[in-house]
Amino acid sequence: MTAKLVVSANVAWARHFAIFRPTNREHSVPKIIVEVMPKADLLDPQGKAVANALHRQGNDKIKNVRMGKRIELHVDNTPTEADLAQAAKIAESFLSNGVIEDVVNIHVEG
Amino acid sequence: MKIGVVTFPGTLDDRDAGRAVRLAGAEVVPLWHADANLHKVDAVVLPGGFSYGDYLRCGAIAAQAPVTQAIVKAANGGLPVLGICNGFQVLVESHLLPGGLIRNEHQHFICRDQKLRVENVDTAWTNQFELNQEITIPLKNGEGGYIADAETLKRLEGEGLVAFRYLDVNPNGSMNDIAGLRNERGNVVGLMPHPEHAVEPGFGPDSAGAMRSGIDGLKFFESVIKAALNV
Repeated sequence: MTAKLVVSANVAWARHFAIFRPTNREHSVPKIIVEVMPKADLLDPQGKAVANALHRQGNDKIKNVRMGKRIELHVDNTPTEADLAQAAKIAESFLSNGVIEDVVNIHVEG
Repeated sequence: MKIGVVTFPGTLDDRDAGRAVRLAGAEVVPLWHADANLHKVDAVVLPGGFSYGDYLRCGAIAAQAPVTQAIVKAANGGLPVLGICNGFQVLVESHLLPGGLIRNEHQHFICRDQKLRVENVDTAWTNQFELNQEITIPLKNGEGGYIADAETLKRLEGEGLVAFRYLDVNPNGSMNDIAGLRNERGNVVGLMPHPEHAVEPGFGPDSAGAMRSGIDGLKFFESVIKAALNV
């Protein structure tokens, strides 16, 4: 698998800072991605604030914004079914709170 | 009477909570997040602040701390536990109390002297109040909107588990104006407003009598001392 490199518009500047220079290791390790969203029927003040700002910029076609979290679990080897089951358990019990959030997706990258 | 006051990384109101405990007449025992030993305390206060920087969700990481695991076990055995603000969020994340707390509806951090009605006095932390007594204590939070599903709300209302309700104004969009809850047993109480900031004349909210003379918060701590004596 080849690591995708995101090319910044200001590469020279970005390279100046180590934080923007991901190591090969970070690019190549398998990751379990957990996506968490606020429950659909709950007010999402963060999304609402962003939507208001977008509307002020004149983005009339955007009706609504909702914001959630993407959590990357970096692992050593390509995850097995058991690893994914464990990740799902972690996602439900700790990475999200079922009262206010839903785990909307768990998948593997890298 | 020994009352433990927990400090997590990011806790802010542990000193004030300790002071309230002393003013009420009990001994303070500092409890540390990484130490699962509760040092034989008779009650525990989870104070306000921003434990673990509110990372993940408010109170979520604190709920996994060694001291919290020990507190949950002890609370299930009857140990009185009071969660204030971030402490309430920890109680909810620890499943000692139901529901959740989300960002204030209006998106602003709020800091005000808040009027509440005490709706349940059969708890370790409210037995010195009169039923439906109106009290004023400070409220300061950004994520104090209480939510729960319809079934849970119905149960909370039906079983009298709402301990405090906001009066005059709902400051954060909490469902049913809920400011605080108790558990079935009455040993665990959690609320967003801060009783520990209203315990000494000269430093509390304004009252009808005089500026900053409000000490309604003291009764929380006097209640738990009284409850311990009656056991």
